[in-house]
Amino acid sequence: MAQLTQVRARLPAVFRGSGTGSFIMAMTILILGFYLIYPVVIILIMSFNTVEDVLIGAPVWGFDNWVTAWDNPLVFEALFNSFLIWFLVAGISFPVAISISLILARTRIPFSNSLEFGFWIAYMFPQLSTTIGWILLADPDVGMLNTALKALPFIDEGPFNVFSIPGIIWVKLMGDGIAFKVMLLTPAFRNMDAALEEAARVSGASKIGTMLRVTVPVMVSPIVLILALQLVRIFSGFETEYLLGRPFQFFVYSTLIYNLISTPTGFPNYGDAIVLASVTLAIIAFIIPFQRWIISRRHYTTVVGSFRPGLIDLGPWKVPIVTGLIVLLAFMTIVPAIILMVGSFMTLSGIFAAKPLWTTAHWEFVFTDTRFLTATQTTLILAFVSGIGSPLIFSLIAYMIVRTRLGGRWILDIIIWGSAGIPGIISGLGLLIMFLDTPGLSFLYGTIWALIIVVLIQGNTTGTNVFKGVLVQLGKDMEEAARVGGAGWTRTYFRIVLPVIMPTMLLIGTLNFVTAASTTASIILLASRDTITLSILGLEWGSGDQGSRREAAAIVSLIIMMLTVGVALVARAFGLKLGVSHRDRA
Amino acid sequence: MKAARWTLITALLLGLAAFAVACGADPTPTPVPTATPTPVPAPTATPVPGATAMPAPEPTATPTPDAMAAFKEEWDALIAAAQQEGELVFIGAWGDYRPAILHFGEMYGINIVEGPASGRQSAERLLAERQRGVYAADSYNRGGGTFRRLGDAGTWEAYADIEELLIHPDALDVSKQRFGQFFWALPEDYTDADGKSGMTGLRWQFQVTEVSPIAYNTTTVSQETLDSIQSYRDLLRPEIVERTVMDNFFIAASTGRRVRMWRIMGPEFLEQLLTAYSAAGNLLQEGDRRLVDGMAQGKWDMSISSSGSVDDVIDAGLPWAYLVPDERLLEGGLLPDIAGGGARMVGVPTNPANPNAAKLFHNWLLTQEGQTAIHTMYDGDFSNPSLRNDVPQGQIRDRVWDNIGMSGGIEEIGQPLAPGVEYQQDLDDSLQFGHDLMEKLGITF
Repeated sequence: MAQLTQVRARLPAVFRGSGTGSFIMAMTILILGFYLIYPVVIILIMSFNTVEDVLIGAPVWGFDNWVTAWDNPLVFEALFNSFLIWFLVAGISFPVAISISLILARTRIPFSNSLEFGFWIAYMFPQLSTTIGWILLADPDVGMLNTALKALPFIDEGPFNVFSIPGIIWVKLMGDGIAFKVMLLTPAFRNMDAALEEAARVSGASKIGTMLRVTVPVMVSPIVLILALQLVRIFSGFETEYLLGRPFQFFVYSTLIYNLISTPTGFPNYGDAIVLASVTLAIIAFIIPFQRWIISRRHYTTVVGSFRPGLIDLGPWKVPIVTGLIVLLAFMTIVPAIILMVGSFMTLSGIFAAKPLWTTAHWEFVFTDTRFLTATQTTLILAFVSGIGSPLIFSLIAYMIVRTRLGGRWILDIIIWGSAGIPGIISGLGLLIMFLDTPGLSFLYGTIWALIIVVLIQGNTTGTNVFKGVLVQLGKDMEEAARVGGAGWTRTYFRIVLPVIMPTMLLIGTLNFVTAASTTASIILLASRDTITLSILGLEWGSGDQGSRREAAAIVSLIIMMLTVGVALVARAFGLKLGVSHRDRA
Repeated sequence: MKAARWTLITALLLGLAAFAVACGADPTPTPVPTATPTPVPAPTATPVPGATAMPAPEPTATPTPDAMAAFKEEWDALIAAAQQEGELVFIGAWGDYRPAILHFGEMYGINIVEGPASGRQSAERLLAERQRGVYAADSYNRGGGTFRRLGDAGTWEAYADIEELLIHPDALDVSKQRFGQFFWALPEDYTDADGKSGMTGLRWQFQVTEVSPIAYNTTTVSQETLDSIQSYRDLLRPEIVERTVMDNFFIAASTGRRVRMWRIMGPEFLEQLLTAYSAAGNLLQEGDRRLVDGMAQGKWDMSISSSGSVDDVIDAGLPWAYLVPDERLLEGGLLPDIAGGGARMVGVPTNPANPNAAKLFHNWLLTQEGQTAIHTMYDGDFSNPSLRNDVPQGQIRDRVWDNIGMSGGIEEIGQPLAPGVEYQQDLDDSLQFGHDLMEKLGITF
């Protein structure tokens, strides 16, 4: 005990709550608070501006928007629909994702790394591409699957209808619904000490019983975290609901907000849109105390000095389970990839009657457009800066929240969650005004540095919270042992903490790389032609603003995806060498 | 520990104070003065090596030699000043017109800086910048809705005086105008009853279009059926409704089509039309993807939709064609439409970032040389002939010439529809009508 006290006394001041530590915490709160919360505040202030167009003329302050926004008869229906979709997707995807993560992390299964990486690839597919792919397959009238089935003598009508609630749920599951959770849960499950499960087994519990009564409860923290992250994003999901819902007049909250901004008149109703979007803040107000309660009610440390990542043998179930996972991954990755790739060589993607059917014109168009090279360069810069810088920043923030006793940690936590309070479609305007209005930032406006700042911090809610989850799992004994052994803090961090959290660093790095490479809403108002990104170029071609270039937009999606997959492959290879070794992995 | 707490509290209070100051800042700060569009005098023009600088035009109204010499001097000074500025910031959706715009840049040694193409986002950026006194745009091109929005913010006011902007004799030669007159869209012509200015800018193209394009599958629709369509009112016949798709022009960005339908067919017909197609499940609310797929794969035999969707299907070699409107479908005559925004017009913002480059560009755009570049360097077929009568028109779609021919030739079209206050009113009225009708039909607007 005396030795432990001695070790704690030797910890750097930042972790003991000294004046320096508090100063660093205060600075972190101020800088992050300004950068992350100021745009949200700007947007909220705009909701009290009652003029027809908040960007025209002098403001007239009042509460009208907060009253009229709720008059829309569709608001509550759309809210209900959003929660309905969310509950159904979460209700299916969570058990599936937990099962898959358990299998990948805690069982002796062949190709576990490759299978896990398959879910990374699934996540990297743009949701829009996945949605378009499934429309081509399961449109009730002209979908390829339905057309093929109708060719059978005993089927008169195609059984699939992607323009339905089950269709929306299916496409969301095949998009990032399952993949995102598997990506985040698998490392958490892998970080669990086998001793806990062995103790249960010794006490007579079955394999399934051990999983349900030991493994899953210990993992409740990351599970709740991912649930919370999904809940915060409830009003961000847009493409799938918009494309599949509109044909049968099914509206969710995010499509309603989109309609308020993209009106046929060209005059967006930002006042009402912000009021409706602010419901997310109410959800966050619920999430923060709930998550803190979950974390504080029991001990979730699973990675200690005696950590042994034991693996369970699946026996005869091995082959069917692997087959099932491969089939699932094929639906998530190969199907949209083939549709995208084949479609990019067709005159009109998905239309086999077109003449000529095949063409390289779309690829030629993309590669000969002078903006493509600029866009690729900018995208690579943003993605690499974000992929490398973001995990470092988020891990340090998480470390301050979880590992220190400094005052103000809860403020930091609120800032991190609060920054997700306004959906991307609106928050871009807040960022634009922030860069225009802030003297220290305005000189960056119009340069790539503004975009770098945006993408560097983008994804902070997910990134920081995932690191928090991992650090909660990580026992302090290893750090303390290193300190007893005479290691300084830097040496301890890089030799002890970093290898343990390296898979998560790479996971968050990859997530942010993907996000930065494919982001549009947050940067579109800040980018110029000199700093155009591939995603913005794809959006322009896909939206028809530049004429009909859907196939070119699909090619851009493919290029972004290939780029991110390539980087993720390298990152994983690197991470598997540096991370915690599962020596008895099959 | 106590000291630490005080440090934290003090630092936070200081920060919050700074934050409050930032939040409380006047959202409409005093505009930063920008350079007034005064051409920088320069002794001589400096043509870019290898580029073909535009020669002084041949005078058609026989200006005096002195006037020509004066213009030459002014023009050369403008080129030099624009080159000194070095760039032209263009915001909008030039799409396949880009090669011509880039050609202008290469020719005069001016870097073309392109802003966001998306309508809403480009308008938002421009408005937010201008609200804060940042004037970063030189030229603007977007659809009618965003033009009006920007007009409300006073973006176009400075160019009410068109003669201040246009100095090139060739651009100002009315004898080169197809309809014998200019169609500058000046703020006073586009001010609605509420005093809001609308689509204001330089027009250089026109359309000749039917009420709303109708297309059909050439392999499934019989000549008998086509012959039976004598009026748009025939599109209400149940057997036509059943096999025809229509995009919802009250929701899609089809301002021109909406106003034409409203003006020519009237609200009663529009209500019947949309009600019938909505009840049949053939009124599409979303983008054109389903429309194109359905047309291409035989779900529908006919379409009442934007020409863009039909062009996609025809360009893909599929057996579709436009129902060329002969006198049966004229419903009061084809409409030479010069009222809309989009590619046919360019907006000239006040306080341009590069006033000389902007002036040079807008003059060049309206000359024979500029229009020739625009029309011949276009990558693909398009639907808008030039308002000039002395330029090659490029790859104008056959449909446009069919429409013109149907009216007895371009010279017979007569006086084009003159937009103005009445047009602005129709824009608003038709939109309100659509809003009410969509509510009645249970369609989310």
